[in-house]
Amino acid sequence: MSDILEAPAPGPQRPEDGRREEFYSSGSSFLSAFSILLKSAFMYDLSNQTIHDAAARVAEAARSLCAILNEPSITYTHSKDLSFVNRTVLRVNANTYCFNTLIRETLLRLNIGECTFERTIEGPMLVSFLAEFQHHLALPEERRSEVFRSSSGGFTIAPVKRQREILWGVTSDPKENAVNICALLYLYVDRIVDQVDQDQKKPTKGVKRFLQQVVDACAGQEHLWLSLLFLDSYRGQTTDQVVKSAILTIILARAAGLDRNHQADLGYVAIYYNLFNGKLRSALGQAEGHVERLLARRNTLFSALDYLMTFFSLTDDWARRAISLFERYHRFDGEPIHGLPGYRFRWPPHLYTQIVALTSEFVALVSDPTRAMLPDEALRLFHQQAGTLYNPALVKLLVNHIGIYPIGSMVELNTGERGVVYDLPKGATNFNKPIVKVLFDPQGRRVGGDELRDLSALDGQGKPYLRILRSIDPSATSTNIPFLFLSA
Amino acid sequence: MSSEPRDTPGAGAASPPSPPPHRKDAENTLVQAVAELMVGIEKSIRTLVQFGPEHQNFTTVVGRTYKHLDGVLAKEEVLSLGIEPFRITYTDTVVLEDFEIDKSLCYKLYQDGVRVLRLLRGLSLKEFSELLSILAIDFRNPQYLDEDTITLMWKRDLERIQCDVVEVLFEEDEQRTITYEGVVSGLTASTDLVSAHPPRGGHREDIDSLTFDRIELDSAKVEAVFRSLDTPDLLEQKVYGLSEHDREQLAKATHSLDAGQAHKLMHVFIYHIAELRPDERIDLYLSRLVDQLLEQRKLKELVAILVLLQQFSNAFQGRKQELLRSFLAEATLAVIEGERRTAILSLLNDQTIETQEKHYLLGLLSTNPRLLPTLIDLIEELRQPALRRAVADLLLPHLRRDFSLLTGKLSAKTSTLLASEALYLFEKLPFVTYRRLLPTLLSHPDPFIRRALLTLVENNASEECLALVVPLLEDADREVRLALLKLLKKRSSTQCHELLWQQLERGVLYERDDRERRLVLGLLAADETRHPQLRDFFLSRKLIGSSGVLETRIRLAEALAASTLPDKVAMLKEVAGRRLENKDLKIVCENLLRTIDHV
Repeated sequence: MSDILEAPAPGPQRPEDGRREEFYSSGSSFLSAFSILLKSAFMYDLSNQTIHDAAARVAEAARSLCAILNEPSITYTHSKDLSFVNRTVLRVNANTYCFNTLIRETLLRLNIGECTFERTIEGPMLVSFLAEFQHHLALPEERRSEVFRSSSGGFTIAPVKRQREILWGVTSDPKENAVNICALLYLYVDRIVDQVDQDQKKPTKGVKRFLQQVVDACAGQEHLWLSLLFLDSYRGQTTDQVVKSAILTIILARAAGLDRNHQADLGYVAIYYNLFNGKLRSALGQAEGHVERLLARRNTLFSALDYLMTFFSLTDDWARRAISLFERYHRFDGEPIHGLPGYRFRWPPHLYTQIVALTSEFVALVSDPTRAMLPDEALRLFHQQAGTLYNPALVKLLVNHIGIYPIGSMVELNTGERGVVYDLPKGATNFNKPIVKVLFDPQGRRVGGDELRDLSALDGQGKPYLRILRSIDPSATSTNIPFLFLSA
Repeated sequence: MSSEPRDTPGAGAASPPSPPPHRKDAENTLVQAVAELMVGIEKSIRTLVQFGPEHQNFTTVVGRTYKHLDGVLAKEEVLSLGIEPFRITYTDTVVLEDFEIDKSLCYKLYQDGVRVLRLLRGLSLKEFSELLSILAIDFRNPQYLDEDTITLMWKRDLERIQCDVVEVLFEEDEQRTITYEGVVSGLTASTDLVSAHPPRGGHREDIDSLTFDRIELDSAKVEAVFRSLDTPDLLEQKVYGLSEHDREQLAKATHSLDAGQAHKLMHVFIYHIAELRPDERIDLYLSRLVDQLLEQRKLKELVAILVLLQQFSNAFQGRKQELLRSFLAEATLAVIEGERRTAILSLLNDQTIETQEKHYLLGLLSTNPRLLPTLIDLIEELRQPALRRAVADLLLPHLRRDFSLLTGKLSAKTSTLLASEALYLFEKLPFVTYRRLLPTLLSHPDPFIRRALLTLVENNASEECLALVVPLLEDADREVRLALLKLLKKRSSTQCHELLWQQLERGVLYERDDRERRLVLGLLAADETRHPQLRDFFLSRKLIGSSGVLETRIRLAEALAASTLPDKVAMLKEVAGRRLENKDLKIVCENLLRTIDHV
C-alpha cells in the first residue's frame, strides 16, 4: 500500500509541519473509532456499551484533530478512494485501510457525503445523534432534509454533493471530440502538474484514458488536432506544453506506423517527459553560471525520476517512461546535451525518447514566449540539427507529415492574401505547398466563406503560381487558430 | 451523444424505482435471465481470481455463463446495463446489488466512470473472457497503478463491448485556473476570428497597415547615429522629427508610395534599426518593402534604402553592426532573388532610369558575397555596355580573392558578352589566375574572343603559353591566324620557331594566303638555327620543285634570298636554270640573284 501524502487544501488550514505526524496518528484513531461506531450502530442496540465506547473515542479523536488543526470543527469527507479531514487526505495504511473502506461504504450507502464534528463534541452527543439519525433514515426520502443536524448539536451530516459528470468518448462529430477530450485532458494534466509543482506524489491514473481517446479521435482528423497546438490560452505554462506535446507525439507516432497501444503509450511518455518543465524553468531561472545550470538540470531530472519511482512497477509502460526521462539530455548522436562532462552514451536513445524529444522541443520552441518561433522556423531548425540532436528520419517524418508550414500556421501568400494552412499538402514533394484558407485579402480586409488555395496548383504553363511568402505570428493578427478548425 | 455536462445524483442516491406492477412475462423472464447472468459473471470472476484462467473450474464456469449470456443476447441485440455505485440495473430493474465496495463489481465500474455497460450480440467467448479478466483485476496492484477498467478495455479492443463513461469534476476543479469550460471556451467561443484573449502588448508593427502601438524612441541614440554619418541628400527629415500625424500618414501611404513617402518610410524603418529589436522580423519587413518598390519601379528609393542600411551598418559597432550587415545582406538578396530578378532586370535595362542609380544598385548588390554568382550571370542580361563593364569592375576585387567564381561560368559556350567582360577582367589579373581557362576560351566560337585572347597573352604569356595558342594557326578565321603570327613574330623565340617548323612540316602553312606565307617564311628565315632545314625545305620538291603553289615558291625564293644561307646563290641559280621551270619563278630567281650580286 503506497503512502499517500497530503492533498492540497485550499480552504481550511493544513496541519503544520511539526504536527503532521500527530495529525496522521489522530486521523488513524478517528478512522478506526468512526468505523466501529458506524458498524456497531447497525449491529447493536444503542444502549450497548460498545456503541458508547466507540462514540467516546470518536469524539476524543475529533477534538484532537480540531486542536491540531486549530479549527472550531472538522469535516470528514470522502472522494473516490480517499478520505479527508478538512480537505487534508488521511494517511491510510494496512491497518486503517479496512476502517477507511467501511466508513466510505457505509456513508455512501446512506448518501452521506460530509460529517462535521464540532470542537465541543462529546460521546453522548454522538449516541443521541445516532438515535435521531436512525429515525431520519426511516422517513421517506422526500421528507428527509438535505442537511441533518442533530438536535444535541456538535455533529452535522450532509448528503453527497451532486458531482458534475461529463459524458465523454469519441462521438461521430470529430470537432466535438477534439474540444471535449482536449478540455478534459487539460484539466487532468493541470491537476497532475499542480501536484508535481507542490512536490506531491499521486498516481496519474486516469490521464491514460484521455490519451487513448486522443488516439481514437485524431484518426483521420489530424488537422483538427494539429490546430490545437496553436491554442494560445496557456502559452508558456507547463500544462500547455505537456498537453500539446502529448498530442503531437501521438500524431507523430501514428505517422510512424505505430499501433494504437504504442501511440497511447508514447503520449503517456510525453506527459512524464514534460511534467517537470515548470520546475526546470524555475531552477534554471535561479541558477547563475554554467555549473549551476547543469546542476539544476540534473537535479530536476532526478526529481522526475524520483517521482516516477514512487509508482514503480515492472511493466513496459513504466520502463519506457523511466528510459525517456533518463535519456532526456541524450542527443541522437550520443553526445551529451549542455556539455555534461563525462557523460557520453554509446548508443542512440530509445525510439520513444527520440520521438518525444522531438515533439516536446517543437512545442517548446513554438509556445515558449522566451523562445517563440514560428512553426516553419522550428522545423527548419530541426532540419539543421537532424543527425546530431535528432534522428533525421524522424525529423523528415515530422516535416513530411505536418508540412514545413504545419496546419494552423498563418502565412502570407505572394498574392498578398493571408490565411491559415488548412490541410496537409498533396504529395510528399509538395511539402511546402499546403492548402491555405484565406482569411485576409491583400488590403487586409477579412474574407468570409471558405476560400481555399491549393498551392500545388499549376497555371496554364504548368508552373505553380502560388507560393508562401512568409509565415506570420497568429497573435499579431488576433486570430484564434483553433477556433477556425473546431468551431461549428 | 451529447457533450453537455450533466448533473447526476451523487453516489448512493435514492433507490431505483420499483418495477411497474404489470410487466410482461417475457420482460420479466428476460430481467430474471439478466439477473442470473450477473450472478454468473460474479461467480466467474471469483473463480478466475481463485483458480486462474487456465483452470478447468474457470473454463467450466465461464462456459456456462457465456452460454447464458448468449441466450440473453439472442433475445436482445444489445444488453444495456446501468451502473450505480452498489447496483447494476437492467431496464430500471436492479439485477445486481452489492454494498461491499471492496469487492463490488458495481462499485468498481462506477468508480471508473462507467455508467452504462453494453454487451452486443455476437460477443465471442474470447471477448467475454477478456472482459472478465479485466473485471477480476485488483487495481491496487502496483502493476496497474496507471490503469483502470476503461484503459484496459481499450487496450484489448473489445468490439462487442461498449461503455458510456463519464468524467467526474470535483468541487476543487471549479477553483482551478484551468477549467473544463475555460478550455472549451478558449477553443470555440470566439467569434469573428477575434481571439478570446487580449492581444500581446509591446511594440508591434502591422506591416500591412503600418500602425504603431507604442514606440519607444531613444532620441539621443538616433541623433548620435545621424551625426556620425555622412548623410546623403536623400535624407529629408530626422527620424525623431516624425510626429504621430506623420506616422499615421505613413500608415495610409503603404499602397501609394511616392518619393517623399518612400523616404519617410525609410526613416521609420531606420528608426527600427536604431532600436534594433531582433524580434521585429525586419528582414520580412524589408522583403515586403522591396516588393512594393519594385512593383512601383522606384529604383531610386530602393537604392536609397540600401545605401542608408549600408551607412548605418558602418556607423554602429559590435552586435548591432552584425545585425545591420545581416539586414543589408538580406535586403540585397531580397532585391534579386526569385521572381524579383525579372523586375530588377527590367529596371536595370530601362533606358529612362538614370544610370547612376543603376550603378549604385549594382554596387550595393556586390557587397553581398552570396550575390556574386548572380551578378556574373547578370552581365549577360544587361543591355548597356557601361553597366556590364560596371559589374565587371565590381567583381574585380572579389575575383582577386577568389577567381573560382568566374571559372565555372566560362566555357566554350559562354556568351560573347560575358566572355568579353571576362577578358577585360583578365587584363587586370595575373596570368596565372586565368591561365587554365585559355584552352577553353581559345575554342570559343566567336573569333573576336579568340583574337582578344591573343592580344591578352601578347605581353603576358610565358613560353609555355605559346604551346596553347599555336593550334590557332589552323584557325578558320584569317584574322586570328594573322594575329597569332604577329604574336609569334614579336616573340621570335626558339620555341616559337620550333612550333612554326612543326606546323610547316605538317603542311599547314604554305597553302595559306600570301600575307601569311610571308609572315611565316619571314619568321623562319630569321631562325638561323634552322638554316639547314630551311635549305632542305627549299630543295624539297614540295617547295622549290615543280609542284607546289607558285606564289609559295616565289615567296620561298624571296625568303631564301634574304637569308644568310651560304648556299642560297647556288640554290637560286639551280631554280633559275631549270629548263622546265615556271617562267615567272625563273624571272624572280634571276632578279634575286642580281640583287644579291649588287649587295
